[in-house]
Amino acid sequence: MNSATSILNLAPVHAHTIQFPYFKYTQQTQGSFYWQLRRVSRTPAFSRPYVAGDPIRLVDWRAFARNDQLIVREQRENASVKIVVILDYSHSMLWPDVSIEEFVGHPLGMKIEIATRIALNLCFMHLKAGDEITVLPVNFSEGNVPSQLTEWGVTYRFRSSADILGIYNEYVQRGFSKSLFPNSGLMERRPVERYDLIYVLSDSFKREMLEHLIPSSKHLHLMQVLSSLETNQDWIKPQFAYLEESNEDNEYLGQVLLGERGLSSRAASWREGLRQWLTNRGSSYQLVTDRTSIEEYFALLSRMTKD
Amino acid sequence: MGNLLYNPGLMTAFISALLLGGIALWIIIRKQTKRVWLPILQVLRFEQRKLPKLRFIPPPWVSFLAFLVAAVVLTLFTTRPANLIFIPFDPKVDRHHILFDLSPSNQASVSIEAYQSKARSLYQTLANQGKITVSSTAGLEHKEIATEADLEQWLNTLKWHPFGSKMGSLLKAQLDLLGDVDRLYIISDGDQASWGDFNWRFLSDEMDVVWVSLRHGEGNPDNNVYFWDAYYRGVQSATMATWDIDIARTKTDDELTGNLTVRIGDKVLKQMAWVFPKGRNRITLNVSWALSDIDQVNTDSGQPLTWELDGQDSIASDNVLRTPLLGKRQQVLLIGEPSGERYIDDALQQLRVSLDVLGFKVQKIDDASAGSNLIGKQPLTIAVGGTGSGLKTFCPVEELRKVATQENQVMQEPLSFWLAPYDMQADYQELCLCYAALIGQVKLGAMPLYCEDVTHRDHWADVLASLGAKQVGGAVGNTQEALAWRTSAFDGRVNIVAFTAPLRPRVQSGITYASLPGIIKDLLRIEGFRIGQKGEEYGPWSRIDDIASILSQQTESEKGKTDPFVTNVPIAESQLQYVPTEDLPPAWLDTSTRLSQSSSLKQDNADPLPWLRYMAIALIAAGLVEALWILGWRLKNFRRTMSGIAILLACVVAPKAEAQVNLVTFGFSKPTATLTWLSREVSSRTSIDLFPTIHNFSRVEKDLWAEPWLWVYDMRPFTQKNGQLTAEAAGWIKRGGFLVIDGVMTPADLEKLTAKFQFNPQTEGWVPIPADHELLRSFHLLDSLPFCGEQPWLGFQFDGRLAILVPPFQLLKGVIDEPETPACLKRQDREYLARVFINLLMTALATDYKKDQIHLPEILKRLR
Repeated sequence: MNSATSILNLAPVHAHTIQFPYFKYTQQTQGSFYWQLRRVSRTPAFSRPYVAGDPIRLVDWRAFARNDQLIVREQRENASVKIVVILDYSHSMLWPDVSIEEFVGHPLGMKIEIATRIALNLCFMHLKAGDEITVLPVNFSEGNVPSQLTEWGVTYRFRSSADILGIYNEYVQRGFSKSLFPNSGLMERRPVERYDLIYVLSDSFKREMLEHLIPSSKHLHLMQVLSSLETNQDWIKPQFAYLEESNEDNEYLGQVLLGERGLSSRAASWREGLRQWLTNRGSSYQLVTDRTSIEEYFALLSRMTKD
Repeated sequence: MGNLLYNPGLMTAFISALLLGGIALWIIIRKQTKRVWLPILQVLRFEQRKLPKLRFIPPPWVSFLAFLVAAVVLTLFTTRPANLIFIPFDPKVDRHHILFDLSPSNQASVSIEAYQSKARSLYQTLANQGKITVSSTAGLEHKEIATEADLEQWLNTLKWHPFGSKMGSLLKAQLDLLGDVDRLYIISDGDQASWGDFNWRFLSDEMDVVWVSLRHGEGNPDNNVYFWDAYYRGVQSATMATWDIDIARTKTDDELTGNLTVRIGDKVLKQMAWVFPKGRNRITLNVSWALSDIDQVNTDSGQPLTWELDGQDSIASDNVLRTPLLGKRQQVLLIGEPSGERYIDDALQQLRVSLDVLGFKVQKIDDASAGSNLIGKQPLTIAVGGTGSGLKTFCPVEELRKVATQENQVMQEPLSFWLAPYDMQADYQELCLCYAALIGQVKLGAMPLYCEDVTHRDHWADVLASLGAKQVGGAVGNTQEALAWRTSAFDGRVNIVAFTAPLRPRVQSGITYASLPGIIKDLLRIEGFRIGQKGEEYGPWSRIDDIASILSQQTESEKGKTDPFVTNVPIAESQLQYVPTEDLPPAWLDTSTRLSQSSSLKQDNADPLPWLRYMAIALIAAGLVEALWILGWRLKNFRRTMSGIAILLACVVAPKAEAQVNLVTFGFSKPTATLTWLSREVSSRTSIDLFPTIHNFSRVEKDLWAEPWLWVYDMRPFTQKNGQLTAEAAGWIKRGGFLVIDGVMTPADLEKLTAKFQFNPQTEGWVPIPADHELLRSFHLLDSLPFCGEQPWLGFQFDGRLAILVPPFQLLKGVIDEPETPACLKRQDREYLARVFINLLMTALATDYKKDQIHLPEILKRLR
């Protein structure tokens, strides 16, 4: 794979047009509109002429009485799609680190870096489309996260593409593992009140977190971010021990992971189980690793939005 | 192969070492294994061949501690220090015991003085090396020796004891008293008789055993002369007692001479020389002495005959043999008239000779009345009567009775009294009279009926048979053939033998000179007299084999009992059969006089029962604690279940749920009044139980404010000076209390009472009870409340309910069991007042419950 096209080079400015079949997209206004507009607004700033297909009840009949024009009034803020990007920064996302890179012998990108790049790219695209963007960094490995998304704490709201590019440049300079989001003016301690679409960028080791999210979301897209070391077993050495840091802290010898039902096949079946579980609940699932190219990324993004 | 040993202490240490080794190995392996963190493993399942990880799982603490304590206790018990091997100059650690063998065989090797000096030197070597106790084979008691003076004092008591001992059983008895001993010294010779039962292996397992040999002392132990056996041969002639004494020696090389001395007490009975010819080791000595020599000896003292050997001899103590005194003549008293110079005609002469031959010493008196002081002293008295000289001359009835009835005289054997005619032509009636007096039928001299016709021997024999005597001699049942008749008198203390024929040779009776002694002897045997006969009384001399059995008997019963049989030397002790040292059990080294055997394993035959018991107790205790812990744990975890069970139980066990109400008054003038009638009415009409007694308070208490309602007859304790309700009372009303002021108060006072209450004056406050008030319809539908003059029923509406009610008269007095209908109420019957009371009760408890129409919509929905 050409290193230039690796997803580890994904920048916000990589262009792609997002089109969701369940959102109305018009060129007249910014943003991907709902079919159903929310409510009537008396404010002239939110007025526009009637377009065929608009609900009759949104017509301002008094204005029509005055000047025989069908004026539709709607509130733009409520009309634009609210996108929530949930970024998992649990401990396992800070892997593979330098010691693993030394062990394997070639540079690898951390899962958090891939996830952050994708998050910024998604933000950029949706902002371009006129949607409202909120980034919600969540530590999935902490079990005490509230079950309702609206109760979750710190959010980042991007208002312009310049915000995104600024943050991206800062990440590139400081490294993606240093701090999650720079402590900028973008941070808000405001709960997510309404949302139409959720992207989850996580390695999904804590499925119970997804169980919290699914019932409360209308559309959830999971982009599972894994390292290529977690999807194949070529790099495993039999005489070494491999440990996990869950409650039980088990250790396995490499020869166990290399067995007939080794790491690769077990990881694949686990991912397939997760995919089945999500699609049964009306959500979509895509896998991204450090081996994924930018083209593949956009392709899977397209697949995802068509689902 | 030796015994399989199980030592819990060693086992614990071994397992601990294995455990530590395992942990060390585990650490090394883990250290050498490089570990890589692979997060995805936490969602993948690899069950097999996990790398073992040391993980702390908290145990159930109480039971774990119980097991820990049990393990520590067991370890402490099982690591009890074993007996220390003797180490020179290791002070105050060991316990030494010295056993002095004082068997006579040692006498062959060493004198008592040399023995003592040996003990001294042994003590000096041990003096600073531990605690020292000493004992001897002479007894079970032991003594602790702290100083040399103690030792000297004890050594002075040392004597050869006259009998042999079995070392093993004696030592076992002593060690049971001594307790644990580290090192045992036995000062002894190699006499196999003493060491025959000695279990060397058992002892050497228990302790260090050192044998200090006496074998290298002076003297020739081979040259011992001792008693082999002793036989009493009886009285050979009328005057001589004869013994056959076997003496033996251990060496037969040359001729040996010596003397044998027989003593009784200090008196020497006989002294004679003996000679062992060359080549013989056993000779028999025939010893005899005149019976008259021992007649004077008092046999009651139990003094034995002492036989002593002297001559060239190595063991002194087996030169003495003690036997009981045998051959001492018994005395007999003859009563009869003399017959002058004619011995042949003397009725008693032949009898006297016969008794002499049988070893009796005969004493004769002519007249019983003259020698009355002698009668009863001898075991046998023979009276010859019927000569016609008078009863009293031969019939000592009174004297015999006197002797027989003496309380203080201990009569071991009954006396014998023989009554014989002097000749065949004797006066048998006289004998009959004597016999009748003896058996207590009549007094001496009185004539019983059965004696009147006795003139001849056949009459006499018939009378004796008919008086219940037992026949002696002749064919059974043939009274005429009987020689004598036997019976007892004076409560069995005197045996009476009445002869029908004279005790002298006669043709008529068939008794000859030759047969008379034999007949007398048989008769004496019947009477229980011991008549000596050659070799019959005492066989081979009985001896004691095991000293320990005697010693233990002595400790249990009284000591110092002089039984001649017990104090004789066992034959084995004297024989001194020497064997080569190497044949003695086990391998005793003879290169030095002090030998030692040490052992390594001390515990292999210790009693395991205590340890098993401790273990069982510890395990049971630990098990119990764990069971309790688990039970507690489960109960704790089943709290929810428990609460569920508790609720269920409450449902089953709880009493029937009914509303019970007490009528609470304050300051009521008739507090003892009952409400039986009202209570019954209330219970029968409503679901409320009213107590039939009044709960009256006379002062304001805390309990008062827990009541739901209160009838007040004295408002003073509830009002402040400005006429307002006190804070407590106001608070109670605000909390929902219902107050009935059962008496008249002016509206102004009432207004003052509630001045501080905040209420909506449009709908609440003091108002006369209107006709549509719930008080008139809460249970019974009433047209109006009973009025008393112009006074209305006043009610204080507060918080959406009736809080204070003021009837215009004392309502309660109208409904108690002995009612006092207020004067203003005419024709108002009790039933009416009761209905008002019930309405009041319902209002107080449930307020205007009929207004509560929360279920109405549902009811209407169903109706439609």
